[in-house]
Amino acid sequence: MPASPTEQPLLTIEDVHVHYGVSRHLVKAVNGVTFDIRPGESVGLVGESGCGKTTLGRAVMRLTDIHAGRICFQGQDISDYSGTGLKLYRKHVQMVFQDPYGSLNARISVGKAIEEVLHVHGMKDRNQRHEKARQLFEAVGLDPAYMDRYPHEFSGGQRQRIGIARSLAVDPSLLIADEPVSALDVSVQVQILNLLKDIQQKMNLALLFVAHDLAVVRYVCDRILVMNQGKVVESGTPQELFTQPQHPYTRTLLAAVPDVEKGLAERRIISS
Amino acid sequence: MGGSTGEVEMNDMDSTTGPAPGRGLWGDAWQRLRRHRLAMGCLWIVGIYTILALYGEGVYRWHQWRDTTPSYQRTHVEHQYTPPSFMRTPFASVQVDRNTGEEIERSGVSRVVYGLRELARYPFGADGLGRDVLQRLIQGTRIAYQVGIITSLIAIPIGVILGCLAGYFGGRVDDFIVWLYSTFAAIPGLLFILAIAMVVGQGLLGVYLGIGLTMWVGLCRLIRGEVIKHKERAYVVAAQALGISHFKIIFRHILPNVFHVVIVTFTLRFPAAIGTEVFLSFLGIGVQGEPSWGIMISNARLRLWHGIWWEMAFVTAAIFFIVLAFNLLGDALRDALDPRLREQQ
Repeated sequence: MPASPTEQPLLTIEDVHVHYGVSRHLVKAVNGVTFDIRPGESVGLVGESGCGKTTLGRAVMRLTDIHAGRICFQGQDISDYSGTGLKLYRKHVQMVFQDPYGSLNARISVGKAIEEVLHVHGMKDRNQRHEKARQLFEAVGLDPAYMDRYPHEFSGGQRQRIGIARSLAVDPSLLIADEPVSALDVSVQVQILNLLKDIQQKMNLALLFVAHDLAVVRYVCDRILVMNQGKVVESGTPQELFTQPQHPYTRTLLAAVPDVEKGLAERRIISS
Repeated sequence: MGGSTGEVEMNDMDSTTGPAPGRGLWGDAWQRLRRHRLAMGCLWIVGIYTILALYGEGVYRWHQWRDTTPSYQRTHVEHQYTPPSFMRTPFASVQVDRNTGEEIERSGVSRVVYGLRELARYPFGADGLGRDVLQRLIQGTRIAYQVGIITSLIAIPIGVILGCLAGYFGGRVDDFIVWLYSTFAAIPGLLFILAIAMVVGQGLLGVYLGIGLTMWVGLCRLIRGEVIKHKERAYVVAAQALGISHFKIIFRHILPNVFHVVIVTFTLRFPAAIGTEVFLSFLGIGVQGEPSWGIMISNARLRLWHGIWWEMAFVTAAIFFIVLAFNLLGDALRDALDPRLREQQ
């Protein structure tokens, strides 16, 4: 559901820099990135490993500090937030993690994990929480009868569904999906992508989809940003990018997309 | 562990066993422990000691309440150094009467009854004041358990809380706590305990504080290391992103995942604390006026060279078995609870 261009952007990222390390071994993970996301829009952020896309996602989530630039949510600079303000911000912006095995606490049953989030964000009534968790379970295509189970009793795809349900618990308006399918089997990937797409359209969520796989992003997103070495080198609709890639990096990325018809022989490896 | 249900999605899952109640990781660990025969044997031994300690506590309370001298304190000089009952041939047909010194011949039921009664009298022998070694041994178990439990109650909260704070927050907090436990670790343990005993006076309080305040260091160090490892894990980052408070993340999310360290440390430190108490009581700065194992050993050594071996032997055996049982149990628990071993399955 592409939003109209006149609408106020939900998230604005202005010339953001994130650095790791100290002076001599400084790594500029994110080196001056600017873009915005409108409500209900799904934006894909693509690039190879180490290009800074995950760092940017974490910076938006306020899990990493930024060193320069501004990240604004609904016109408000998020770097000022702390305590209650930050908690409130995290009610609006949520994240789905890459690793479905590690991102759920092995000692807490999956139902409790969702109910805890609801509790933290102010739903004090236990029955209400339980009911809401049931609904979320159903919304992501899981049987609520399994809510008392622990994470190790689920498969990777099911755990990722639980992760999605947990991030949806607070009714966010922006969802950051950090490589949500890269740890999953190809057959399961499609199911999770469909789920994300459905939910995004049903709830009119804005989605920032971080991935290294262009094919995956093309499937879900309205607009794609290509990142390389901490900078956005090209952006456009999937149609534009796939038919007329402008930047050489985008072309190498596209060439690396596996194509069964072409065969392995014609695939090229991305050169640095 | 990853693919226990395989990559099945909902449709497959419905057709499987149905919604049985989920079993947590603690349940898994218990199942693993139950398969470990030696560990279950040790658990039984620990259980028996626990029952004896509770019985001893009951006897102690009872006499305190009635304001009577407990039987394990009553002296019978005429029975001093009575050997253990099984050495006195209780079922022999000819017995010497205890009071008159006459030889009495018994047979049949009367012989069995007399034998059983004789067997129950000083079963582990009597000490230099004619006190029952078995009863004193049970009271020693009570003291040992008190020391083990109370020192753990002092050491575990300190170690866990400081370890969690240091590991989770890092920076200045970590520096301070590392400095603190390094300082405590640098003081020779026994001297520290002696110093505390000097300050608070002789008796159990000094033992509790002395052992408790030195025991937390190892636990704190272990917990800190584990928490540092866990705070980078995805589930902790996820919890932060979900807006869960630091307090809840530490104590609800991380702590249950590192709690196996506490359990294992407890089972290994418990016998160590008992050993320290025995040693302190042996030196005479521990328990006063109560039959602790250390005091019993200290008393028994005086007459050991005269062939009065039973007091020493039974106390040593009691200590040996409880320390062995706790240590083997601790090892088995470490295997059962260790997440790394679980991953390999």
